[in-house]
Formats: sequence, structure tokens, C-alpha cells
Amino acid sequence: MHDCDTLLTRFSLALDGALPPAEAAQVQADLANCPECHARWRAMQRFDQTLRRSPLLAPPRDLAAAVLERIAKQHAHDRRLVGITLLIGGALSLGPSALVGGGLCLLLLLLIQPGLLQGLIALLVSALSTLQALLVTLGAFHQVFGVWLLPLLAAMLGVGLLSLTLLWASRTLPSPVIMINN
Amino acid sequence: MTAVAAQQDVERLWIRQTLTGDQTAFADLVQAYQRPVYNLCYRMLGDVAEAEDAAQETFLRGYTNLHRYDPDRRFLNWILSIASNHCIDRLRRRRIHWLSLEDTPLVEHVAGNGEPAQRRVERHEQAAEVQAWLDQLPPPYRVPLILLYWHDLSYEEIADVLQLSVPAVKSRLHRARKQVAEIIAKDAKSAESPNPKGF
Ligand SMILES: [Zn+2]
Repeated sequence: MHDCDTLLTRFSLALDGALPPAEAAQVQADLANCPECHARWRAMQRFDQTLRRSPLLAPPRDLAAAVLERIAKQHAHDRRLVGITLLIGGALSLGPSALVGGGLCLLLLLLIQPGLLQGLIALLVSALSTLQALLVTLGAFHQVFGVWLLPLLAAMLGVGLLSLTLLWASRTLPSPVIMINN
Repeated sequence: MTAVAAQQDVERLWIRQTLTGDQTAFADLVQAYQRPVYNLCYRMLGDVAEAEDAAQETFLRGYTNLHRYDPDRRFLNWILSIASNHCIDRLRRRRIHWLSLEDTPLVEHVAGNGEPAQRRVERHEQAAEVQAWLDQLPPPYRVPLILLYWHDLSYEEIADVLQLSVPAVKSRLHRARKQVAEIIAKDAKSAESPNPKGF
């Protein structure tokens, strides 16, 4: 006896002539003993022969021309797409362009007017030295107060803010209403 | 130089010319491969008008992706793989149609007209029968059969077109044939005929 499913897997190869002769002979022997497999083999043969007899169809005569037409359409579409993309891209890049342009103008102005540049440098230097003085002062306080420096600073800030608030409130208090009796 | 090598040289020239913008060279490529491409599309889709549209689309995709074509690969296999993928996509879009065919018992669908299949000998009826068989198969199983029977491709070439291993191709061919054979076997149960091919 044979396994029908195993035999079935060999049919496809047998139809393509891809089965070794010994296996083909075995298939033939098995087929003689099994009506089920024989019926399946006959069906596969019929399918195989019908398909082999089916002719190739002639393609439409103007296929190449139609393809070239589609390519031309696609190109036109691509060009439109590129145009739209450039337009949107241009609009979107206006903002950054303005920034860059402004920066360039400032640079040019500085090159033409060296005095302006000197003024800007002096401003920068003085800002840096103020910052340095602040840091030195803080360092000196830290030496005196140690870890209490931060709470002290916070307290000073709090007191400062409170007094500023009170000052502001006293300024905006409603002025006494003057009753005029007729 | 063999005919195949000469053909490949001409083909490479057309491809180079197309890549430099010469569209008439691409028209030559279309002329050379329209028959296999159109036939694959027709057997996959089973409709002349749809096959024509699919063949045009295949060549359009080939043109757009020509810069990605690997010259070591046979151009026929490359363009057939584009056609096959495109047709499978189209069939997936009408999935409901062929899945519903799959869900109904196959035998009833084919033998439903009450006439034994073996008496349908006229050519146009046979063509319809072939297409009816193919239409029963899920598209990925249809392609290897078409490439084998109408394009005379070997297992290795089918594997190259479908980017599958050779055993996977053999397995798909086996399953496709088995499924169709089941339809035919049940259909022909009542009408026995002489064994046509030995065994
Ligand atoms: Zn058996």
C-alpha cells in the first residue's frame, strides 16, 4: 500500500518530466493499485494537456504607442507636481529667508560702520564684567554663610518681593471719596 | 555569438538609450516583450480590456523604475515580475469576487451547467474552461502555472520572476494542480475516458 498524499505530491513533478526514472516507475506501479489516485492523476493530466494546448494571444497592436502616451502624461503630471512643490517650498522658506537676509544686512552694516561694531563689543564686555562682579560677590557671601547662603538669598528675595508688592498696593489704593453735600 | 546573447546585447543598448531619455528605444523594448507581458496579464485577469490596461501599467512601471533594473537579471524575468505583482494587486482589489468563488464548493461552480466537462471540446468553450479553472486559484498560485504553461519558463526562471526558492515554486505548482485536479476528478467521475498518456 502507498500513502495517497505522498503519491499526489509526485504528480506535478511527473507532468513536468522532473521525476527521476525510478520514482516515475514507482508512481506508475502505485497508480495501478489505487483507483482514487488514478482518478486524480487522470484529472491532472487533463488539466496539463488542456493548458498546453491553450494558445498565446496576440497583444493589441498599438500597445507601445499607448505606453508612450502614458509616459508623456506621467511626465506632464510630474512637472505639475514639481511646480506645485517649488511654489509651496518657496512660500514656506520666506520666513527663514527673511531672518537670514536681516542677519546679512546687519553684518554688512557692521562692516561699513566699524564704530557700531566697537560699540557692540564694548556693550558685550561691560555685560560680561558685571556678571563676573556678581559671581565674585556671591563667592564672598558663600565663604561667610556657607550652606545657609541659598536660604538667605531666598529669604531676601521673598522680603524684597513682599515690600515691592506692598509698595505697589499702597500706590493703587482707592483715593478717599469726597462727599459733596449739596 | 548565440541568438540569446545577441538579443541581450540589443536589449542592454535599448535600456541604456532609454535611461538617457530616448523613448523610441523604450518603445522597442515594449515591442519585444509585449506578448509575454500581455499574455500573463490576460491569464491572470481573464479579461481582454483589463489585461491591456495592466500591460500598459506594467511597462509604465518598468519605465519609471528602469534605473533600478539589475542588468545581471534577464529583462524578461524582471518585467514579468512587475506584471505579476501588478496583476496580483488588481486581483486583491477585487478580492471579494474571487474569495467568494473559493468559498463556494469548487465542483459545483465548474460543473454547475449540468454538462460533463469532457464533452466541452469546442475551442472557445475550452478557453473559457481554462480561465474558469485559473480563476478558482488564489493569484499567487495562478502565476507559476501561467509562467510554466504559456511562457515555457523553467522552475529556476519562475523562482527568479517570483523571487521564491525553487522548492517553493514546486510546492505552489503542486498545490495549484492538485486543487484544479480535484475539480476535474469530481466533474469527470461519471464519464470515464481512455487514459491519454500512459501510467
Ligand atoms: Zn492512492
